[in-house]
Amino acid sequence: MVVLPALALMLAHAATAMIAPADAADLLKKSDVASRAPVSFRARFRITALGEPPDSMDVEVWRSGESKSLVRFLGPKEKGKYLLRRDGVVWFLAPGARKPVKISPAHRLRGSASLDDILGIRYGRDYVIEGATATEEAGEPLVVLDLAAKGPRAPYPRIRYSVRPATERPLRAEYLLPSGRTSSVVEFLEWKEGSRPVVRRLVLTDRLRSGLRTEVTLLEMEERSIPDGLFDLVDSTERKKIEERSLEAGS
Amino acid sequence: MKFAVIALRNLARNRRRTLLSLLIVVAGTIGTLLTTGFVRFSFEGLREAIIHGGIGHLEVVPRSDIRESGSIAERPGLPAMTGWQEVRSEIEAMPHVLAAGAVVQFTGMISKGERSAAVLAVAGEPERERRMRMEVKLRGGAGLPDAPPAEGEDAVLLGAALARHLGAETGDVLTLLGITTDGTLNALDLRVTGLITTGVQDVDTRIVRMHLASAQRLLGTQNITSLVVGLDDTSRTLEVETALERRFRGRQPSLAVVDWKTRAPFYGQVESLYLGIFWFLGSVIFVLVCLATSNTLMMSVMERVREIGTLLAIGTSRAQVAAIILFEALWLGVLGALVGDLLGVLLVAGINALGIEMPPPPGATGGMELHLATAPGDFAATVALMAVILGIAAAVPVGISVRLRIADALRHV
Repeated sequence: MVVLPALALMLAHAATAMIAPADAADLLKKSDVASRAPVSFRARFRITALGEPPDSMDVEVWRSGESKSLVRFLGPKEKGKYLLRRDGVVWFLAPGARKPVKISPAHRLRGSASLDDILGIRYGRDYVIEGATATEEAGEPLVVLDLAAKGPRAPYPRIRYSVRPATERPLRAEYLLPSGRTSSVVEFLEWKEGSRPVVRRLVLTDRLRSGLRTEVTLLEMEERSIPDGLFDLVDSTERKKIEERSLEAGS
Repeated sequence: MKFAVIALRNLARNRRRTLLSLLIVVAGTIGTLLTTGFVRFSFEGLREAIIHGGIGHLEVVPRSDIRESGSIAERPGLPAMTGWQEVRSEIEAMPHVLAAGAVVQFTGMISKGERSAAVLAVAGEPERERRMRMEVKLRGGAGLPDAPPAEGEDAVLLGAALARHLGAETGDVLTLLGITTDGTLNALDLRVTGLITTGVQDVDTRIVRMHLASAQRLLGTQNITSLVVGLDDTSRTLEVETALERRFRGRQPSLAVVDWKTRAPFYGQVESLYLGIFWFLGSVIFVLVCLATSNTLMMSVMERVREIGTLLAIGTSRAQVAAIILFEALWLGVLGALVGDLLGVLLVAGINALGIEMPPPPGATGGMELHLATAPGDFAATVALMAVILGIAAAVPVGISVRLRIADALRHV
């Protein structure tokens, strides 16, 4: 009877193995797709809370460098509303409010999707590897990296990051709370190929809210220069120009 | 009747002892009246404060909301009541209804510069609230204007403790964040027109009040949370509630009618607490009056042992002797209670005239003026109560007198 647990332990040990720190760091760097995103771009996303019935919203994201992002809400009732992130601080701008209002960076846009979930977390830049394990899933090799935040800028203190070494692309990331409990899980399901591959579809599962699932789909992405005035907290001239152009284009 | 007259005459034989007994009964009666008056003052004051503080006598709300949030005062979910204007017209056409005010409740975050706070927002119609005799206790500034504010001119009343936390004053412009019925974030600038108190410290740290139109603008909806119904008389609550339930039976989407007491479980808790105190004090008064008067009645019997023996010897039955002593006790109770009622009325009037300010109860922000409330029934009840107490107090003296042996009684010194 003692033989069976011992055998199971040996098999488990054989199925998982530690990998060298240099290899793990290299894999993290290569799989960190957010770091390879264009410096400046405009993209449209559809965020769908996969409930009954599904509830979706479209947003347009304008990004310039690491520190400046603007989310424009595209719903018919959302005209003139923006989320503006500058240097890690998120502001909400609405037609009914003259001044921008600072809100939590963890604000959920729809379902459980936050701004970080849409723009991508910089795993390579903001996290350090604490452990790496080579294993297998669905018959294919998988490396699980235990990441710890380097500083307060990181949105989650710990992440369990699973990467396919064959493709050097992440399969999923589990975001952990300081208590060790899993907060949410993101699964990277589809990719837009190209010189800079980006995630086309991902699904977030909120483990704190009865497994609420939220799908984020990239509808279009355009690498382009972005006027700095778009990220001005006070002067809304550039943002108004976008609204006018959208009206003319009928979007 | 004859024994009642004899008993009354007996009371005049030892006036000092009778006066002592009467004083005990008078004190007991006054104590009972004051306690009753204080309990009634507390119940009525709290009841009307709850009703006219915003809850109203009745609430008409989608039944689905009741399932989600229960029958409580706060309903911070998204406004789900559609077609409410038609429902309101029906309610306001009913007898005893002063008005039915539309209410939107939601949670949000209010900001002034770098300072923010989570709030419970309550939006209503000031004109209808006035018709329903709702009270907004201002601690500064002015109330909300009756007319729906134009876009960009939205106004807000802040809980006094919330205003302190935000460092906000009358005239400041704050930004309220809320989630629209479509599930997205929205913001609205609101000018502080006044500071309010609900009387409850905890609520004052998180409440904001605004016009219905402002809340609907922020949440992007024409729906409301519920209709609050104000009546001309609180005692009509059950009657109107039953009529409304009958009227809305079978309506889709289903509507529920909730009375103020169900929405304010706090009232039930206070009622239980005060009734407990009332019964305890009542029991103390009962025991004190009973023991003290029993003692004087006993003295009266012991001093008249030979007299009672003589009465028995000349043919008076033991039941007749017992009746005389019992009537003496009842006379003491009735006369003492009547005098106590008279003095009690004067004392209540005097206390009320003094305008004594009571300290704020736990969790409340302000004290209240003591105003003891009495009802005509209280006076009759105290007379009956004292008669019963004295009847019980007479049990031992009556028992002793009817067990006296004639020979022993006649020898008694």
